[in-house]
Amino acid sequence: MRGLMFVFIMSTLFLGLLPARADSIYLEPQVFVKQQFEVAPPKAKVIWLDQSLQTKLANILHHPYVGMRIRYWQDKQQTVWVLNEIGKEKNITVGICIAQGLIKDLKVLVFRESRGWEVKHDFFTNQFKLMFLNDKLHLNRHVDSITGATLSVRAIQKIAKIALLLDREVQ
Amino acid sequence: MIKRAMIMRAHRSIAVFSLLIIMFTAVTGFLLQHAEDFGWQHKPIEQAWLLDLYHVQPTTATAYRIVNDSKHYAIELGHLWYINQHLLHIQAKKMLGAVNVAPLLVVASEKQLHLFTADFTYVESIDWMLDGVIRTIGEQNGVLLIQTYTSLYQADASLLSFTKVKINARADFSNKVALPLSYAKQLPDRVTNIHYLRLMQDLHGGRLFGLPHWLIPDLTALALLFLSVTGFMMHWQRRKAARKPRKY
Repeated sequence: MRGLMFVFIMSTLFLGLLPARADSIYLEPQVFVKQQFEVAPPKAKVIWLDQSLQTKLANILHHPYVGMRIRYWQDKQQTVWVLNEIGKEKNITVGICIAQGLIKDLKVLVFRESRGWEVKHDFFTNQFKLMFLNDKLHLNRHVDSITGATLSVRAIQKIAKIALLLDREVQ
Repeated sequence: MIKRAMIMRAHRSIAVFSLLIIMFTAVTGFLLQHAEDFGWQHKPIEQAWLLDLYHVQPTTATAYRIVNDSKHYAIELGHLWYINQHLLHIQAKKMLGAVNVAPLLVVASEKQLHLFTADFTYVESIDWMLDGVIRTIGEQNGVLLIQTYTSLYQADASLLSFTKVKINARADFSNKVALPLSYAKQLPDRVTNIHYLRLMQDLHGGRLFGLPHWLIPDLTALALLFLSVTGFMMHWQRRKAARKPRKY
């Protein structure tokens, strides 16, 4: 019994000393884009961010958007976006598919932070399905948060809002 | 029984002696608490005397010729990237070349292409459109070429999609060059990614100026403990004295 206890304590200590995980790629962005189209994805397009759009993005993000253009894929029914936002210190990459102004699919593709990875689970991302942006540029429904992943949850919400806003702009 | 006058004397002496130490710790602690509000977690130290404190050595610049642009050099200096003396606001590792495909300037790292406008404003980073690690980038007839270790890719005019092409001997690829002295003089001698937040942590934690600095947090803690205890003792003795019936 004492031996088992010793092994348990030592392995706990060892696991605690392991460095934080590196980037976790749950789904390659290009695979996500491919999955959203029945046939081969269309050629990528870009939206250039003018001053008014930059301001709207900054209001959602609470900081200026870094960059001047964002690429997306569009066919007659939907637009697909791969966007990044910082959770606490590092970017979280999220893929979003929007059809007729509603979120059709949202997936966390790459997670680089050491905490808050729980946002990758379907029970969380499925909440965003069929959400849309109201006139005040807020999501139409409440998103249930995850204890210990508050910043990641906020980042995903911001990305969802941005994707819906950009979709509106390109329609 | 320790006399009240003795405690008071010790309390006063320690308070005067530790005044500066406690103030120093309090001020650095306050600044540390609000470091993120000042943006100190992103701002690297630049002052020569601060760089000396951290023994930062002079940094050697690596310069690349920018294809289609004879006036500028793409320069890697430590972890920073420059076009001539203009700092590029990106976080990337290992520069591999630069090409001017008007109206955009493309700078390559191992796994990314970074796009900038003609006035060096950041536009976008492309990091997953290509397979393999980038070796260098070049240009032919106004078209961007990306040489990975396995294939050669050609970008479309708006740099949105990339197609594999056969190796072309006439393509002009960016390469390392010696940076002219006049350009090198415009760059800082030493760069570091030590930020003001770290500086403040080190100041507060006593890790910068040897043993005397190392003792400051300890002395602050001891002084505060001592002042708390002697302060309480004085208060207690005074209260006790006040309760005693006075003899007239």
